[in-house]
Amino acid sequence: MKFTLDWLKDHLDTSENLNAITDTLTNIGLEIESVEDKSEIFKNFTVAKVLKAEKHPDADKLKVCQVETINGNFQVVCGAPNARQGMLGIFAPENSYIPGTDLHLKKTKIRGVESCGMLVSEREMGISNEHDGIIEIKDNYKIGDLFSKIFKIDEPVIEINLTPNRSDCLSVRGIARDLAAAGIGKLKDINYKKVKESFKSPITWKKEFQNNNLCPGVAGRYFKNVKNVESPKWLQDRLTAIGLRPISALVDITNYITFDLGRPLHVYDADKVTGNLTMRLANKNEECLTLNEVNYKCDSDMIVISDDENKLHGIGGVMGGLDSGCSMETKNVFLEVALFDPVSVTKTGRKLNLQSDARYRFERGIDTDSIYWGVDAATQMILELCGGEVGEFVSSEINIEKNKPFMFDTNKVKTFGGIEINNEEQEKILVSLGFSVNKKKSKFEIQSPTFRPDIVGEADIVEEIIRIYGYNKIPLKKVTNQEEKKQILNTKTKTFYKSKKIMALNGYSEVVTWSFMDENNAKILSDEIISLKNPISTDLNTMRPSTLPNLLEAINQNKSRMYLRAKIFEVGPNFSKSLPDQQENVATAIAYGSSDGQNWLSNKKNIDVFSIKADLFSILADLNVPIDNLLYEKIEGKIYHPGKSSSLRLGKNKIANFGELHPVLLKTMDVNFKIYGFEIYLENISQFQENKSSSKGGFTNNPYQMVERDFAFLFPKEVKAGEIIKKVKKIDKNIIQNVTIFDVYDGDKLPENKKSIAFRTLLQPQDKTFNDQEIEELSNKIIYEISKSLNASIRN
Amino acid sequence: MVFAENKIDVLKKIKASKSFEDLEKLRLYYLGKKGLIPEALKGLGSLSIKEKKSKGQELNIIKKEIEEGIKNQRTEIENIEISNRINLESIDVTLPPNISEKGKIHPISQTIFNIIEIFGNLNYAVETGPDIETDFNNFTALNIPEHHPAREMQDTFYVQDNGDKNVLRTHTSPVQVRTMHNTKPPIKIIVPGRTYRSDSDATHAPMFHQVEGLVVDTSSTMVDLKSTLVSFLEEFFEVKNLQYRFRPSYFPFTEPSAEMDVAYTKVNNKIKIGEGDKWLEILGCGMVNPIVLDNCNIDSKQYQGFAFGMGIERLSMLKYGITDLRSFFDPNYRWLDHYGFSILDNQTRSGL
Repeated sequence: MKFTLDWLKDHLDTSENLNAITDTLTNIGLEIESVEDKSEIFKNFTVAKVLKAEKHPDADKLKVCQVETINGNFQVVCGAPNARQGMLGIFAPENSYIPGTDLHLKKTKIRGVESCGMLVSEREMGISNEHDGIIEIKDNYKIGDLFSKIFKIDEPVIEINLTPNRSDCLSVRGIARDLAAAGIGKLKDINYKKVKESFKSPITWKKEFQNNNLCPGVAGRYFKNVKNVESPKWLQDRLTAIGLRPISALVDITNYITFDLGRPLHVYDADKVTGNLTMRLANKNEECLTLNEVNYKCDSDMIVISDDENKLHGIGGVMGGLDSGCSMETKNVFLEVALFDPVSVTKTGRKLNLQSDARYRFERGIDTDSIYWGVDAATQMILELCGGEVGEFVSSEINIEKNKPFMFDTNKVKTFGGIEINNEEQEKILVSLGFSVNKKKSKFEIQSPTFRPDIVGEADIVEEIIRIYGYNKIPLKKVTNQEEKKQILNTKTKTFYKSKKIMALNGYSEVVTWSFMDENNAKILSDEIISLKNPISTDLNTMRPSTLPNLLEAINQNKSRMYLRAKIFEVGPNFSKSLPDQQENVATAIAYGSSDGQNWLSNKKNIDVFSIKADLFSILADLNVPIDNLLYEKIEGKIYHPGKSSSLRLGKNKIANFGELHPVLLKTMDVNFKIYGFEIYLENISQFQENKSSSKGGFTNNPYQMVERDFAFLFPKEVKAGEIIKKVKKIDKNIIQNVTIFDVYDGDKLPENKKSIAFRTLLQPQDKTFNDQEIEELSNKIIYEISKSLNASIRN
Repeated sequence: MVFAENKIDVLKKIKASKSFEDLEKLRLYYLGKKGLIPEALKGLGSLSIKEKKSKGQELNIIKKEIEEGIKNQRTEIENIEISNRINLESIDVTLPPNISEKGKIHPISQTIFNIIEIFGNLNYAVETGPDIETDFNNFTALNIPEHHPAREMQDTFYVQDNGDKNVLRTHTSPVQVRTMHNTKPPIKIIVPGRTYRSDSDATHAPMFHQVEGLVVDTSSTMVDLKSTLVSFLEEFFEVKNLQYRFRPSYFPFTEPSAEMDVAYTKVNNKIKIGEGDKWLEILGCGMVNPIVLDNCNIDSKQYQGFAFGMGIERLSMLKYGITDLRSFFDPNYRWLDHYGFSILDNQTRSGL
């Protein structure tokens, strides 16, 4: 909502300056978006006199002028044909900003002659396209007079960022009323002159609705023999200042009253209307050609204005018709002052994708009383600017629902707002905002004004009182925490945030990518994708079923920065129709490139399945997951390489996946080297984040000498290392403390379908040092058990 | 046999020996089985008891000193040998080591960690909810009716063919609704999380993060609301006497509603929060609208409370001097390295 300071002062009698007014506006909830003070922008540009204008020694079309300004005489090189001795122009000094050309003016030499400042054209000042010559100023001005004053562009333009509840402040008058309530001056009265109704209206209003709420009423008036003219300069200036284009007096009047009083109006050229006008619902596909020169096809829930020949003259509350619009030739006009259901106007506007100043106001709700005073306001202005004769006031049946009075407990200001404001002060504020207050002990019986449809209950009244009193007067108190300590994070949120720290601890850097991805890629990964109806773009049209593709996108993007290796992760939701809440939180990581950089000490190896497995297990261990109990399960699908990956479970719960990513996925993502990844299903490990007792139990330092024994077996190829370790440990859980695989060989020197695996056992005697025989017995037991259960044979 | 050598000369000879071999020769010569000292001790047998005693003592002292001398010289020779070896062993220690790389925490997470820490100290618990929400939880329960212009304030993403769960939450506020439906007051929660609006330009991203706060009890007022937020902002931005504006605004789910701006200045193109003559909008808040309480089956005659919401990226940009919103969601490793945080880089009261 935009307005000028002088416009505001039409309604507000105040001596406060611009700053006080704008500060107050923000403080009472009418937040200042901008204040454009052109007198500030143009303050350096003043009237100057050309004392001498001589031909430039080196250029035919240039003149060297000596210019007298309020700050002394300057030499200016000027190319304007009208620059001549004795004239008054507008001088722009050095270092000033020229708004029309967006340049900062510097002292310069033009073909060898110094030029300090310039004489400007209208285009250079940004006030018109005129650039045939420099501005000429009449003799009645003197040197030093301000350009902005002469051209009357010194009125500050204030724009407020209005919240959608305050439809009453979509008018200059409403803003003035709020300011007056806050102590910035006094709201001026409006008195409309009584008019003489000199004839019976040739056009009347009818309503045809099943549901009266759609159009509670419409009023109007017929004007004979008006003269549509160009609007007076003050009116044109105001409309221009707020970004509207002046058209003709009749049209400008409707626009002006829309902004001045928040009352959208329409005037029909009465000679283009056949018979009477009717408000009704449109027939399906009925067409209406509106002022913006578009022929809209209406729906059967849209309000339209039709004449007796069923020609449509407007879409109710949104826009008037083109054919009966006013032109300079218009002689007789008919005025529409209507009320519409906000929801109906909103739906219509959205369906037609048609925005207008009228729609903007109707959908937020306008003063229901304006159906009466709107006619008076328009009548007065039409008579003043266009003359003519006034017909009788006409209207349809009017069914306005009055705002119901309600009780307000004045203690609410204290119990809700926390501040003491006495009842007299509360009453004063409410009355100045237009409420009627009927005192009943410590309660007020309140009737909201007709222009405040946003007020529905006591909380609204508390806000009205406190916002005018001043939110800045709400005192502060010490915020202390004296309550009983509660748990801040539950196990689920703790897992979510803790996992990020643990991933970073293990060398992975966090990224945050969209929850969206490309449907074409998502379909490869999942059958249960969730797509958006209105995506921001086609490559972000589906909720991601996996975070891996988003991480993979980072790879090529960072190549040019010479990042050829990386470990990155994201902790966030993946989406699928079959999940509870349709999402689950997953910690996802990828790693690729050399495993320890290009350093001279580097082991020159690339990250592989086992390095990412090591990272995963380290992270899981940090998250208190019992990694020794994890069960391996083959992964199907298109995300992981089926032969170089595994899923990990604990019981039925899927804990993680890891492995080399599927070559097809990489090809889809345009990645042409191997990438490794893992995913941790955070919800399934949250049970391990319960706070545990920090006491650790006793420490027993077993004093007996530990013994190492190595074994090498030939196994059938399909035997898994995990199984071997588990089997060995099972032989004696107390004594066999650790089993490490130190060699794996499956080359062609071995019998077909065999592989050799060597492991080292670490043996801890329990109550006395081992003797040779005991070690021998244990070794034999291991050899026997492994050979038997895994179909293996010991190697020498 | 009598030991006739000067003790000082012997010790000098020992000191002059340069190798273990020389030293061993000297040891055998003086202390060996047939060495001068044992021989001399043997020769004492012919002396009188008195002489035997005094000469014996004298010889034993010499013997000890020679033993001591040899032991010291052995250490000396060992040290010389070590230092000779050291001279041959020196390497270029300026060669770079292979430091294991540490991961970094994204500034969005870092900001959330800070927020959890500060509100956690004030006894707020962290709550969460799903990103795909019902229209009821995201709008209707929060007093945003279907055709109200307030809905146009929030450009909503809609989900295809998904029953009543048809929107991506436009704010974290639906978690208020969920919590109030599931919990009896008093309620004191914050809700950090992903939010979505179909808006994409230099200052808007289709996905972003918010943190929501909700307190419902029988007595919280706007004084508590304002005090809590000022206290939070001062701690978050690490400024004392924060200059701020607390001004009326409108949200359908709060009444009265407010927004807060903080003052800032630009020093050398860097934003300094807390003082200055320019204002930055930082959060929206208000007293929970009684209509919302009633929508969530909480008796608005008995209970009241406040709610607030802030943009995590906004807070993060202001605190860490990040200028481009879009950069948060762009996995540029160089940017992540620059703006990322070490896991030990926590803003805690103790500084540990």
